Amino acid sequence: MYKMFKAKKGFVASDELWGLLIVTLFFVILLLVFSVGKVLGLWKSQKQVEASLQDFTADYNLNQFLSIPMEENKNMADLINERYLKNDDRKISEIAQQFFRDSYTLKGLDYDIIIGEKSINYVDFVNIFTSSEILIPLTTKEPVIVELIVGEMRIITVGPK
Amino acid sequence: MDKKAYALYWYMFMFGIFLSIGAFFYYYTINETPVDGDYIGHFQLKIIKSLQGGEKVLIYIDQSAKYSLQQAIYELAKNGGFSTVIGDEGISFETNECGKFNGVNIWYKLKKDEEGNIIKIPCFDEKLLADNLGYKFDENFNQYLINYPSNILTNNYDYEFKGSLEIIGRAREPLIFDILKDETKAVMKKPTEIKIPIEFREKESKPAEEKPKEEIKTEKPVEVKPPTEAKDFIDFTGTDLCQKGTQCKLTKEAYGLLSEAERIAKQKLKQYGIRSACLEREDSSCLEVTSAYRSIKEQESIWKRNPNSKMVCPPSPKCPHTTGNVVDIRFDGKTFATMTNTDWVVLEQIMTSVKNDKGEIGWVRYANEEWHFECCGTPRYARAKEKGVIAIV
Repeated sequence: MYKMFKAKKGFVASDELWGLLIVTLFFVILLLVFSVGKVLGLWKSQKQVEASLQDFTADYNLNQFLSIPMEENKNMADLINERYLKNDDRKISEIAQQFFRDSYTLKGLDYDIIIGEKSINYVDFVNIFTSSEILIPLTTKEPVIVELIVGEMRIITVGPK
Repeated sequence: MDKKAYALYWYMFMFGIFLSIGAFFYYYTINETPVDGDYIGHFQLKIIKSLQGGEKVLIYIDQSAKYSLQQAIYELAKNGGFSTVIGDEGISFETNECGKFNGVNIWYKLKKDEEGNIIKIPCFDEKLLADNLGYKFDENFNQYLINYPSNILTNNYDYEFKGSLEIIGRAREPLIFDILKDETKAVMKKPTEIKIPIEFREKESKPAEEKPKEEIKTEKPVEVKPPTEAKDFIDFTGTDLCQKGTQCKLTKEAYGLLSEAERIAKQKLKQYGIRSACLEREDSSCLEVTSAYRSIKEQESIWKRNPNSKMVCPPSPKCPHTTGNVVDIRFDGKTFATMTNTDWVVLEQIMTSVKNDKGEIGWVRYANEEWHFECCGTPRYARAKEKGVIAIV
């Protein structure tokens, strides 16, 4: 059979058939690899959209949180001002837990509110999905950063940037 | 083909496979697209995100306004309802003409008339209370706005007082957000060209010619608007040359002269050994403009805060700042209070050593204010040039 193919005119020589097969196989694998890449790229785009939406959700939730009405015509931002100046954030954490637990957009995720004069170093956190920060003024005229962090909270160390 | 040749094919095949896997990892792992990369929906999401960014600034402004009002009420009450007015250039004066007794503002003066009766002369005008509150409020509010990291314009609100303690502030200039810019990265803004309609000044030297009576039409009362001319301006708000929270616009010609002054300032500061942070960084400015072009509305607002014609020009197209050819300026990193006499002298040298295209003096100083310089054909500039002086009243 082998010899017959080799002898006939118009047929591909059998010793070149192996080469052709290998090259074809190579291109098929290459096509597969880049197809997978394309799918991965789309998947990554989708993740980026999701991440942006999470950012938006975090921003929205944080803005809403600061506008929660409190007693005596005050809101959450006023309470943060008072408590921050007294160095006591227990009540804020309590209200934050309640507020974010009820927020359906953050359901199933861990969250924390951090208040400080400088941003937190994200590198020291593990699995941060998203975060949002906002500046609110204190009565001392200096601004303070309120940061909402959403994700799987496993804080190793926390330090300013 | 012999067996050795087949082996070569396999080697090539294996090499190709490794190469393609390598390329795959490079494109999808190492060469990872950043999160803010160009993906479908990227711009749309940026717009939505900037909406929340705007909300954040508005929350800051609202909270600041609330605390500013509380603080203003406290300060005003402490000062007996009077406010100590501080001019744009840091000079303060008392609004109570009756003065103080033991540091406390006097509300009434007692005087004896010719018949010996004691007359109570009130010093406190309750009608001015809202103005005083507005002034104190604005002072505190501006401080809050300056402390915000990004540029929020100060003195940008017109206030309306409602009821006893409600202030409604309407911004003259809107807050502008660059949707596609990453707000977390500090990027120095660049000057941009704009057009501003400027009202013509009434010609002071030539009085308007009287028209014959028969030519005057009295059929329909026509609203006479002052003629305007659109001028080319440079908006350098947010640049290093402009004070934070201030809107800085100058005519093209004036901005060109200011840039030249900035270039000379670097040389002069080095020459005189004046320490300044601007000498260490190439992109940092040595001069800082605290006020440039003002619209009539802005001038009105300044006048309302401080209606003292000795310190503020009553709003009209005659005010030098409304021409866009005037700057209030000082050295960067200094305040009007910390500028020394030497600093003012050096500043004057810098500004007046600038030459325009015709080789004439670029800037002249208003003799009553060390910080106020005019150029490009303002009446004061023309008078100074005519007399050959660098400072004139």
